[in-house]
This record gives sequence, C-alpha cells and structure tokens, in this order.
Amino acid sequence: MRVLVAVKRVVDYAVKVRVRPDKTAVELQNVKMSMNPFCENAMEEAVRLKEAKLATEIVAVSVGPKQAQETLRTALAMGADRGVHIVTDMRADQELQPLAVAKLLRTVVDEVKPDLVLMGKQAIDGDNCQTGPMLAGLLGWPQATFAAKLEVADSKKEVTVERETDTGTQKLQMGLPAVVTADLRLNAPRYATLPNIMKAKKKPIATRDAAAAGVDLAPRNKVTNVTDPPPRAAGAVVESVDDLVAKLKADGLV
Amino acid sequence: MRPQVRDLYKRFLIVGVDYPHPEGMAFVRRKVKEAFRENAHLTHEATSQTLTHVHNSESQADVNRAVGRGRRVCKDIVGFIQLKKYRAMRERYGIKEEDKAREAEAYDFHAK
Repeated sequence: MRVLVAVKRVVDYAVKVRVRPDKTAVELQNVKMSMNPFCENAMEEAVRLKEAKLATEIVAVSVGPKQAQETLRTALAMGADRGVHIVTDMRADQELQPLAVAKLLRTVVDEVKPDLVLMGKQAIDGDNCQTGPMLAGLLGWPQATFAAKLEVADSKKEVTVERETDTGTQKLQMGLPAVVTADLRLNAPRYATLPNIMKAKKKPIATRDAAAAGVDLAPRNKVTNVTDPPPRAAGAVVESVDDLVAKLKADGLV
Repeated sequence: MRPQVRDLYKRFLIVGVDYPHPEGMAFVRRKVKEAFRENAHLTHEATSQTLTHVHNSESQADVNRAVGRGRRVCKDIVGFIQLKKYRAMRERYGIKEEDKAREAEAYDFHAK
C-alpha cells in the first residue's frame, strides 16, 4: 500500500502573529515557520502504518515556496521515503487557496498513484478544513475527515476510521483508495532526531513548478481585511470575598 | 572535541530551535554551553594524561556517561516540546467532555 502525505509549511504554532500595518495580511517576514501540527499527525500515522508493515512506501508532498523544502526534509526525517515539492511563490495562507491546492495534489495523486492520502484536518494559518474534502471530491474517492483512529483491514482494501464530530464519534468503513484527514488525537507525532535528519538528507525530493502543472490556481475568495482580535478588557481588583460575590451577582453570574 | 560530544551539541541545537522559552535559542545555547564547560575536564588531554594509572577506557566511560546524561536531557526536552504543542492545540481546537474523561483515564497513574 502506498501512502501519500500532504504537509504544509505554516507559521509556527507558538509564534505571536502580527498583522501587517496595511491590514491586508499577517506579517510573515522573519517569522518562524514549521510543519502544520495536524500534518504532523498525518505523517506520524503514515509512519506507523509503515512500521506495522501495512504501507510499503510513504511519499510526502508539499506546495509552497523554496523554503517548503525544509518542511519536506522534516517529513522525510519522520519517516517518509521520498518527497515531492511543488514550487510556487503564492502566499499559502491567502492567494493559494484550498481548491488550487487540491487540484495540484490531484496531479500528484495521478502521478504517484497512492492507495491512501493522508493530510491534516486544517492548517493553523488558513483554518479552512477544505483541502482534504475538495481533493476527495475531485478524485471521486471516499473521505474521512477529523480522523481520531485509523485501522486498515487485513485485506488492505478497506479502512475503518473513527471520526470526531461535534455530537460524538462516528465510525466509517470505506474502500481504498481514500482520503483521510488527521485530527489531533489520532496519535502523538514523533520528533525528528539527528540520526533521522542525517538519513533524510539522502532521500530524494522531486521538484515541480506549480505554474507548469496546467491547473487553474486563481483564488476564488478575496481577502479584504485582516485585523487583530479586540484586546482583552482589564480585570477589576476586589477587596474582599463579599465584594467578589456582590460583583458576580451584579454581573448575573451567580 | 570528541565526535560524540559534537553530536550531542548538534542534538541540543536541533531541539533548541523548538524549545518554548521567551529567549528561545539564546537560552538553550547558554545553558548547554555552561553544562559542557562543567564537564570539559573529562575530555581535557592534560587531566586524563596526568592520571597515569587510569586506563583510557575509564576516562572514555566517564565521557560516555556524561554524553548519556546529555542525551537523556535532550529526550526530556523533546517530551516537553511535544507536551506544550499538544496542550496549545487542545486549547485552541477544543476538547470535548468525553475526550477529557478519556485523557484523564489514560494519564491516571494512581489507578494503575
């Protein structure tokens, strides 16, 4: 079984993002970037499938600028066998939108011919949650989003996925090939250590140009405004417990 | 500098990039260099040669032990990084009541 894992290079989760003065976008200059945490979950699941001898090859793919190679190297260090880098200078959080990414990933799927496509449920910069479902729609493949558990049947022709929804956990069974998007509680992603990083340097990464893919990359949505959230109101200091109770009652909380 | 010591320093630099501290890499570098300096006597040529009755293998064992300690600290740092990331994602992307119960079960050391 061949697994394709799509990873995205995003602003690191711990960075306090700032909005650009012209309020059109988030400041990305000199900001720490790393792999999307949900994509790490997807990558980890692929590696676990390989360790359980259910997957034979893992291919990592990423769409992004030249620096996205670092994210691919991290994916290779976690356990992917080879990487595909689709180079584009479009901003991954605004101009390059999920539909375009899904179309680009479809070209990769047609080339790599995987049995299972794994990716994160959403990216922490765009929070669209659309790329996985759109890719499944374009391919006509079954999909399972927000996967919290993934089991491959012995026949390797079916998977059972437990999905986390607002109302509870849903169990789905589907035939391969399929698209599965990973949720936080799918697994605990491993950290790439020095020996693995050294090994990853030798693994091949194929580069493709996004513009040469013959795909319509034009954005469908336009970002009109990006603003900071309203600042938190300052708290009030109370002198005694009675004051606190009185204040809570006045606010209707008690 | 022995190759395993250089390897250990590189490991610290790799985890230092993701270490969640306001000072970031500067903090990690400072602490790691202090720790390496404290243990520098183990690989110092003069010290290991004056003790002529000590075999080479014994000083190598000391170095191995110190490097082993360093690698364990590295592992702890990795665990810390992963925990912080998990907690931040959990806070931001929500956790349902039944998952809280499941997590509490998984980490309930007293029950086991």
